[in-house]
Amino acid sequence: MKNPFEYEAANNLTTQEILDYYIEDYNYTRFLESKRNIFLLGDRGSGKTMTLLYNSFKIKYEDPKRNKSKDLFEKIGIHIPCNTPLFHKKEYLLFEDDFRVQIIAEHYFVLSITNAIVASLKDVREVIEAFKDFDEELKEDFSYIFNIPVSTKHSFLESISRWIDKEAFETQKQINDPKNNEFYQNALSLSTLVLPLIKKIKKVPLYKDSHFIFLVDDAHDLNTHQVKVLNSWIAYRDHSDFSLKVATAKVNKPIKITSTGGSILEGHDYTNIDLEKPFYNKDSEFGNLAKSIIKKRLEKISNIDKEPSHFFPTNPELAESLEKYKEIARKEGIAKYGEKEKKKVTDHVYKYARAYYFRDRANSRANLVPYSGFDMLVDLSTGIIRNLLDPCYYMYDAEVSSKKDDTKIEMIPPKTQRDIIKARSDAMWKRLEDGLEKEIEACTESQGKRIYQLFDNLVLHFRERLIKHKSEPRAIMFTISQVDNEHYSELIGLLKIAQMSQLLYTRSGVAKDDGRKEIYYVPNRMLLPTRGLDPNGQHARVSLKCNDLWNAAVGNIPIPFNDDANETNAQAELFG
Amino acid sequence: MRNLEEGNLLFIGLSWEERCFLGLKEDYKRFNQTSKVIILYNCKSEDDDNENRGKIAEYCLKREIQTEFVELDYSDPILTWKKIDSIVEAHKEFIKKPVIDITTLPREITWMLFFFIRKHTARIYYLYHSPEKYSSDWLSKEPGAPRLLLKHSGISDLNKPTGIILLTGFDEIRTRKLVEYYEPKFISLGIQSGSNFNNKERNSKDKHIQVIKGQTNFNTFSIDAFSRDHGLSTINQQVKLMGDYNIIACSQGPKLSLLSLYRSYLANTNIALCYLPSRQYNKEYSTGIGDTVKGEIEF
Repeated sequence: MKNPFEYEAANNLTTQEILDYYIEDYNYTRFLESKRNIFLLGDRGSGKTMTLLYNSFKIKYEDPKRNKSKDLFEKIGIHIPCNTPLFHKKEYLLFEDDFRVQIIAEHYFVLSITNAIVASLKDVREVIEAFKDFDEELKEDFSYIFNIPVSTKHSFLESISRWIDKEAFETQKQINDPKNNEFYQNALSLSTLVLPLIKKIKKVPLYKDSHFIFLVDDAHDLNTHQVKVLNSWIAYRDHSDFSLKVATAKVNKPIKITSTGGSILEGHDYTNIDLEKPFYNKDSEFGNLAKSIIKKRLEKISNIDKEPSHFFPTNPELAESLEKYKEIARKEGIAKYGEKEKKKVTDHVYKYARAYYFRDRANSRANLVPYSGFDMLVDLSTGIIRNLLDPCYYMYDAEVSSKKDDTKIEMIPPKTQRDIIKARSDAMWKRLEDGLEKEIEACTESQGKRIYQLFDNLVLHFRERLIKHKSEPRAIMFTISQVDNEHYSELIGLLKIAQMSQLLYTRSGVAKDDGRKEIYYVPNRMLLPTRGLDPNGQHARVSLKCNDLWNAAVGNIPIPFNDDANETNAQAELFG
Repeated sequence: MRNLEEGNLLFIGLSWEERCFLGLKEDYKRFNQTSKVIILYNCKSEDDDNENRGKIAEYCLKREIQTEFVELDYSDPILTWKKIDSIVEAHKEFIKKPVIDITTLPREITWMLFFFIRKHTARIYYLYHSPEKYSSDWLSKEPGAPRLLLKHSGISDLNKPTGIILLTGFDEIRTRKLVEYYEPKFISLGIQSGSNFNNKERNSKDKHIQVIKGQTNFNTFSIDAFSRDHGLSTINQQVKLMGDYNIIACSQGPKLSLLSLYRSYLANTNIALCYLPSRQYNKEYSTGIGDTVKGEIEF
């Protein structure tokens, strides 16, 4: 029985699976189809690869909804994964001078791009037809330029494909040859191979207006030399024939230096797009996306036609209790503002109803909150698709394991949901307690300990707010104030490691004081159930002093609680 | 001092582990014609300042065996590669009967030595000393990013997906790290058979599966690195089964499996050898010395 919530890397999915699972976002499609260079920023699991793949020619062509589109051959998206063994090769670093290193880095890149172009086009019926009358001429041109024999047996694109395979083989064989430390003399570049190839392809009328969009995936996996090469292409002046859409993680973003030492500039050479969406409530952009993803997976993989909220029902006791506390807060609001002030009463319910429930649970010796329900899962995901699928996968797996027959899983009982949420939350704390140095390259043992202490104190602080704070008891995000502190850069170093481990995310929003954009931090909400907190949170950011955070991390000193803390009430924005 | 031309050249890795010095004594029992010991050590750890350094120097001096301590930076594979190249090149006249004690040498360094030594001779002797016991606590921390071994990065086919063959060890976090880093379409987990050093519990199949479940497709196979061929035929079988992938092969299991993985690489040079570094090892990593395995590889 296939688990509908498997979250393996999108690169490993079939065309049909991509079409089945992806939920289109027209905002991104518009940007990806433009002629501008774009950097697509998103944390691991936020759907970067899926977005690029969905907008590639190969997938578009197979999509019955889109393959009749008139611009199918006008905007040709070529997916170029960078997390392949070819990109991980390091032999060229053995060359003594940087110039040669750069040339081989570009050579591998260019081979991958050319292969991706040809692989995307060569088996498409319309393309084969369109090339028929031009095949011989193109083959002769290419054969002349690159001094390769004209193939009589194969088409132009097939010949290029075979030649690229051979080039890739020969290069790697020579560079790995134990008896040979020579430089590879036949190295290719964007201007010696890719651009002439595009020009040749555009000789075919079907492609005369085509714009090639290189969808460069996982650019954070590129080494410095490869990044410099990529940036040089971004800085290229003429983008009538091609543009680059580069997907990269937010942490360890590639540098912006080109191979000639220049820089690329945002706004001038490229535009940044943040893939993360507002995710504050079930009706937010992310809430709707999450609902569509789960519904589509249930339908396509498990043949279940159910709303996600019915597949992941809320524990009746939790639902009932929340209603009870809503009523308490409503009465309190009416007493405070009067029945006519409906908005104020609604705000009061929003702020306090859940807080009262979780506050009472925190103060009592009651068992763990029965965390359950689809909305709870959306909150726990912290706005990251992979985080949404992770507990769902384990819940489904637990149900399959407990079943004695082959009958369909029709829903995940609240008890299973609670148990898995607790287990995944505990596992996340265990990672912190064991030390992130066990899994993150840049993390030392001392930093691992500090990050644990920082998170431990942050959550204690949020708990104290839940119990005592008068206006924003459920705030679970923070900004850093008083940053002119000697430890600020070290603190940011710790936060970056936490981001690399997906225990912390950053968002950008408008600062309350001066209306400028500011970065704020969102701890992974899966950390909250173990400590009995509400993953639903509140539209508020706690302003914490750099020094207090540093003391919490280094000295395990509790973060001071101040009921009058300066908090910002603002919605996160789509584009940072 | 002994004449270099007549004796064996022995390579060892300096470590604070007891079996480093105890192992050298065992090596000498088996190769008493040893004329020079080349001791490789990591300048980024406390290896250059441990007790074993003095003990080795004194032991060799008494027996008129030449010694050379070679400083390497294990975190920099390019510099290390060049240094090992130069040290082997400087001894090329005497590399007739090279012996490598792999016990406390990192796998990457051992493979580099194989690469350079096999330019000059077709046969290498190797020795491995098990510890009496491993620490029951953590063994290593602060893992670096996985990396492909220089000149052994395989021949990647542009149209094939990535597949991994991993000979698993005691630390399942490293299994997860490998999957997260390379995002393979498929991983084949080779689990060491037997219950030595509490292997069944510390290297259980379930522990490794648990950390990669849902992220990639996988299968498992059983391997015995302590068998006569150190599991070579089993690895070759897996390589054959994974012909549709660009294979990245990694050894985290018993040290002896690095030998079979290397031999498998020589027979299938399209696969890539991968090393997963670690910056910190438990000072109590192992105690004492156990059985010794001695053998030879013909290239």
